[in-house]
Amino acid sequence: MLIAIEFIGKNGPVAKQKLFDHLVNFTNPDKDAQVKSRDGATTDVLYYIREILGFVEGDDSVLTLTSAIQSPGINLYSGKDLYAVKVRGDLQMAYTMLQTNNLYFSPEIRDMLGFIFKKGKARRAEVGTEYLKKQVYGHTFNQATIDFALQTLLRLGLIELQDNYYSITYIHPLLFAQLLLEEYQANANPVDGTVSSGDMRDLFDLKYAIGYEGFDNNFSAVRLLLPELIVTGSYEKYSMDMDIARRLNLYA
Amino acid sequence: MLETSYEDLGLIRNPFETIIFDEHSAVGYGLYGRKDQLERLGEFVRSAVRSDRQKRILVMGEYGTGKTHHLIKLRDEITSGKHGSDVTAIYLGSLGVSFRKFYENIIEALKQNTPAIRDTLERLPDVEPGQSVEPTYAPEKLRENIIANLNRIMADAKINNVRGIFLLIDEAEDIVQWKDNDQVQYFVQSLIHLINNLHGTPLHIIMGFSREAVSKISTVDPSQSSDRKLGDAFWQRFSAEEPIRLGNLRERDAASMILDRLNSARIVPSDSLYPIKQEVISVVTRNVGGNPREILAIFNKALTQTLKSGTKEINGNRIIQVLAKHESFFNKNIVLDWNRIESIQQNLAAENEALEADFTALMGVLIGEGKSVTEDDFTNPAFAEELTKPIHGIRILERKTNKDGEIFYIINQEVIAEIFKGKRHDSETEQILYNESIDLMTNPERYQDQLTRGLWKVLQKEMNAEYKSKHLFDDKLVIIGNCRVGNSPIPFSLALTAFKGSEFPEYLYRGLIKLIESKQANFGVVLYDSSKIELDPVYQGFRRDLKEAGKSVFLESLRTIEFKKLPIPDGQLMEKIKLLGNPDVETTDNIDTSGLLSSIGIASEMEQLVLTKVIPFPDDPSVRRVIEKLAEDQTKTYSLKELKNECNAPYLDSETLNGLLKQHFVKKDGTRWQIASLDQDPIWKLIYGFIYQEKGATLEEIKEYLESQYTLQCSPGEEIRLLNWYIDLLVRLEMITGAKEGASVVYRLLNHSQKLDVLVTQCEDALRGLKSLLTDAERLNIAISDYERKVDTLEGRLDPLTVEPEPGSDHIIRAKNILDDIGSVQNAVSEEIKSTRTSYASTLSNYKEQMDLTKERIRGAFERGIITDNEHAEWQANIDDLYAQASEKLKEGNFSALTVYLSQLDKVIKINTREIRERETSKEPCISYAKQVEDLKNAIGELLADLEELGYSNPKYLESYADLNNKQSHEYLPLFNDGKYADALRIIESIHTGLVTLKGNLVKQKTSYQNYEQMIEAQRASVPEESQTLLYLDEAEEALREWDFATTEMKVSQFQDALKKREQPVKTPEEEFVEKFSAQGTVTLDTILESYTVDKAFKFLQSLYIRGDIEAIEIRIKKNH
Repeated sequence: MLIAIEFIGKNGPVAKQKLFDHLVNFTNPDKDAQVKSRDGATTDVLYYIREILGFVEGDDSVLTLTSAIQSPGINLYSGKDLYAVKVRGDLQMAYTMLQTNNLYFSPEIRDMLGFIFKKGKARRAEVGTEYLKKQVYGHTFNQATIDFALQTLLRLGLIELQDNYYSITYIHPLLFAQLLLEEYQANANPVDGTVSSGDMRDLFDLKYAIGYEGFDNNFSAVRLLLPELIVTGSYEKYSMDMDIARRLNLYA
Repeated sequence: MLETSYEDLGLIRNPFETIIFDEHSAVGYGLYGRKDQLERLGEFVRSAVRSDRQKRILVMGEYGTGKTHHLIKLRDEITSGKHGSDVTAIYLGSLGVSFRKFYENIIEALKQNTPAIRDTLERLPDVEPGQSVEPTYAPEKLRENIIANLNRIMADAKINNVRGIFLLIDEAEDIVQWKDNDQVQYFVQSLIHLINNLHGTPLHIIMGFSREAVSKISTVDPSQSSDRKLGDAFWQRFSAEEPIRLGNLRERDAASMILDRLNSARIVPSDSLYPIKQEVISVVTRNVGGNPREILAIFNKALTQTLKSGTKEINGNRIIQVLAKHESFFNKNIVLDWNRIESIQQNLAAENEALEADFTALMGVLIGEGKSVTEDDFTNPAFAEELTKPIHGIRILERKTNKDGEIFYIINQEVIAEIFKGKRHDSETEQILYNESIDLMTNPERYQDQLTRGLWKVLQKEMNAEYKSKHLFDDKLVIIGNCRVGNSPIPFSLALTAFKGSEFPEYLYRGLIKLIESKQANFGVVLYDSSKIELDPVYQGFRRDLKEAGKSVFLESLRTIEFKKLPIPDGQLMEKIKLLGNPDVETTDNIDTSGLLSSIGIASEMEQLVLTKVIPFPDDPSVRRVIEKLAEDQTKTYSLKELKNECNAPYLDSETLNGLLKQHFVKKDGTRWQIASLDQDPIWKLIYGFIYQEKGATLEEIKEYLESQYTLQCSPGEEIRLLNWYIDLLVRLEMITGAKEGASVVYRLLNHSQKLDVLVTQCEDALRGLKSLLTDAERLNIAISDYERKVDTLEGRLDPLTVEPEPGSDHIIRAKNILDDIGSVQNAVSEEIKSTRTSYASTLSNYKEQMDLTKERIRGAFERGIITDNEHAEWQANIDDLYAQASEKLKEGNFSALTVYLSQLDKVIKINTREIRERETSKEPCISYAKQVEDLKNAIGELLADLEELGYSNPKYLESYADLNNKQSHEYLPLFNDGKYADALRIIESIHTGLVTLKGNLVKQKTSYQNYEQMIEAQRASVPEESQTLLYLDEAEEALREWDFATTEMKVSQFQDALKKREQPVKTPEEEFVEKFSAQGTVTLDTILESYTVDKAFKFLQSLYIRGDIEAIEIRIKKNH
């Protein structure tokens, strides 16, 4: 995906075929023998970066990078943002951008990430048992989509596989937002609809092994990414805007 | 400063610098602490020598534990003939994981060790694949060629009565260090191929291996279509023999090793460890875990530094300096933390500089030698006591008293633990731990929540515990989480807390009991650090006041783990736990949570509790479906794949099933799964037992019983669902049946008569099948007596069931178990039959090689004219025929006949080979003898002619000559012409001997004749004509003409006597008298009177005295006159 973004960014509006040629040339023909077809693979890439992640726009003859993604309540990254950090050589940030847009546009994958995180470490069997035929944000999982979701999480560097166990490598702000929301719903004061920051820090420490400092850092990251989600109250309390949460697909 | 020399230390060189890494370096050093291992190696070799099939064993040991040394010693033992002159061994090390080099080294070694097969070795085809071979296939082809050649070698070795070749493979280090993983895989695959192809021959394999090498080859085997691990295939081939493990040395053995090394560098060996202080050996051994190579490396450095420093002893001071720079072989940490010593010194100096100086002076003795000191060793005796008090939170010394009441001081073990890296964390963590320990010492109860959080984090990380809730009782924190036994899919909930304080926390315990009673948690656990709980009056009061229900919870569902009684003590455990639970500390990665879990022993404690107290209920419907499916038929087994398909559980995996195994839901047979039987104590046995005991029970009664004794692992209100599931399982298992009686359903045991009959019949059929299998096995020459005994036992177990009047489910299970056991025996027999068949096939394949080799030799012998046309054809046909028969018998499965044919083939091959060899060695000598015989015959012919001319006519020699001639033409020539050179050689040798003797006799006759003739001639010429005397010579001559040597000799002698008589003058009696005694200077009268009378004696004396022929006559008068 990054190669495609870089190519479009560097060459201005490009036609689909030109992009495909570039991607094909870039790949090793031997390895490609394993792939169902080069055209198929490149079509998948384009579909993903244009239709799903919103990094590219325009029809097949004039593909360009997006300048901004209009999505209220969340600061998503555009194709040009991504191209800029890639040119700068900041691969870590490029990955964060890919992760953010992926987890936002595919909330079912984020949900699966949350499941793995809560288990600490999970076997494919456990993920499969949990998600098979399960409907998550309108997406019903089957064996193929479960494996695809796991592959996507692996490719994005959000999880790793060791000794047959998947475990999380990094708590993305969107995942943390999901957890915050789940705990908010479970623990909010029924009278004023707030939770105490201190209680939440404590709960996250015990339940998710996220220490106080980790909680604070993640909390800030969520506020940066989703500025309207958390509504700060007095006495170190806060509430969450459930409408925004629903709109952001943080809960169904 | 002057450096010390080796001579100053009584050494001729550095004894520690040589490490044993190849065959040259192994010579001259002993092996220590390896008695058991050496015995096992010896036993393995002996058993292999007795077997004519391949045996394999691994020698497992880490880097530096002596694998190479063992293998080389063993090689030397075998090649020196300790296990027989007909076995040999080849050490194969430093091959660079090259299979080609492996092969070349074998060939090279065999050329030197085994001359009997040298000819075959010289003529082996090149293993390098030809040009025409596709490059990608070349490695496989090379391997194929190597194995074919090795097969040929083993064939020729067998022909030449070599009983075994041991390959001692020492490639573990190369495997670990080799970067090219493909090459390692190729090497290991090649060894597997070698084993597969030659396991029917006595090519035995002893392979050195290490943990790291194991992990290196535990990769997926690309040559297999399935995901089979290369390592698995390799281990499987070594599984018949338990590996010989080379562990680390004990202190005593380390000392013996050091002494051996020292003596290797001394002119005169001794028992002294000088220049090493004995105590430092213990300290070094303890702190490097006893790795022999590492111990030697440390003493090498210590000795070098000692020489440079100009001192003459390796003492504690020297050792701590070395250990402070030595990187551990095991974990790459520096063994001794010098900074920590310095920090202690600084802390002491801050208190009292003289104290610090004393500590520094005694440090080597206390730490490096691990010895004690007394107060007299200090400049100020009070210093010793001072060091027993905490200085900056740590006590340096511990006071001890011996049995005589004398006080001495040793270094505090906490100091040791801190100084030696293996037992400590990095300095930052250590610092934090100090702070934690100070907090806990000053105000333990204040940090109860941190201790509980810390304990929770251990479980969260190590047992994958999932948080449920937290609770406070009297301000004391309790956390409830879900935990699992192993990977069980069924969690149990645990309320846990930790406590350190002075008084028993009664309210905390009451809270825990409440949580369990209200089913918020299945169990409770308290990590408890206080004085003896039993002596605490608050605890005693609490126990007294406990009501019945609470008491049973306290006793059965609540565990108190006392810090002072931990299974694996850890002095800093509470500090580490607190640190983990301290929310202000962000990074706790250096705390070994796994070690903490082991120390606390909570996992096994909980597992035991769960397995004895919990009635679990699988949450996951697909897991329940699997158990239900298995329960449909107790005797049926399923593979994982079958279960996935049949239970619609695509994500079922072996981990889940192993979890169920641990909780006794299922059992496992190889890779197949089955419902657990009653003897494995599955959960449903409790319900079954209750129904059996009560002779029937309703659901409510079962529930009441279980709730009174066990914990139902379900949410409140779900108990009936759980029970119904178990009852349904029992019905599926055909153990109980329910019938409506009045308002409720009563469950009773099922009548099992009919089912038992069916099972008994199945068992009987299976036993018949097994017996028939044993007959097959017997034909394969497999020892079946053990199996027959097992069959007898099984029949003995089955007999009572055939006459059981009132069968119950236990009888059904017994019958099923018998059926299972028959199946197991059947599998074992089948497996052995299969293995023996393949082994026979491998043996036959090697015979094919032997046959080809022999036929090649027969053809060669024919071409060289050593064997006849007939033999050439017949011998080959015979071998072909026997081989064909053997192959046929293998196909038919008639292994007794196969063994007979193989034995005949073996015999024929050996006879043919011997025959060819003997002929090759007999023909030339035959020809050589025949030539000599011809020469002899010529010489004898001439001799006979000469003798005949001289008138000799003794028929004995002529007859003898004729006999020998006859023997040559009638015996020797036909044998030779038939190619029976060995027999012919024997005959021609005897003819030759006969002719030599004959010739000797004839020569003697002729020579004697000529000698006598010459002698007579000479005598005749030397005397004047005198007819009387010459008559004798005439008579002698006459006798000689008639070849009468006896008469000739006598007549010549008579002639000589006559001649003497004629020449001799007559002596007077006086002259005779003088002649008789003249040899004696002086003679007494007594001597004279022995020959003469007194008268004659005096008469001769008188006359001779007067003639002056006697010089004097001496007379001695007796003195008493």
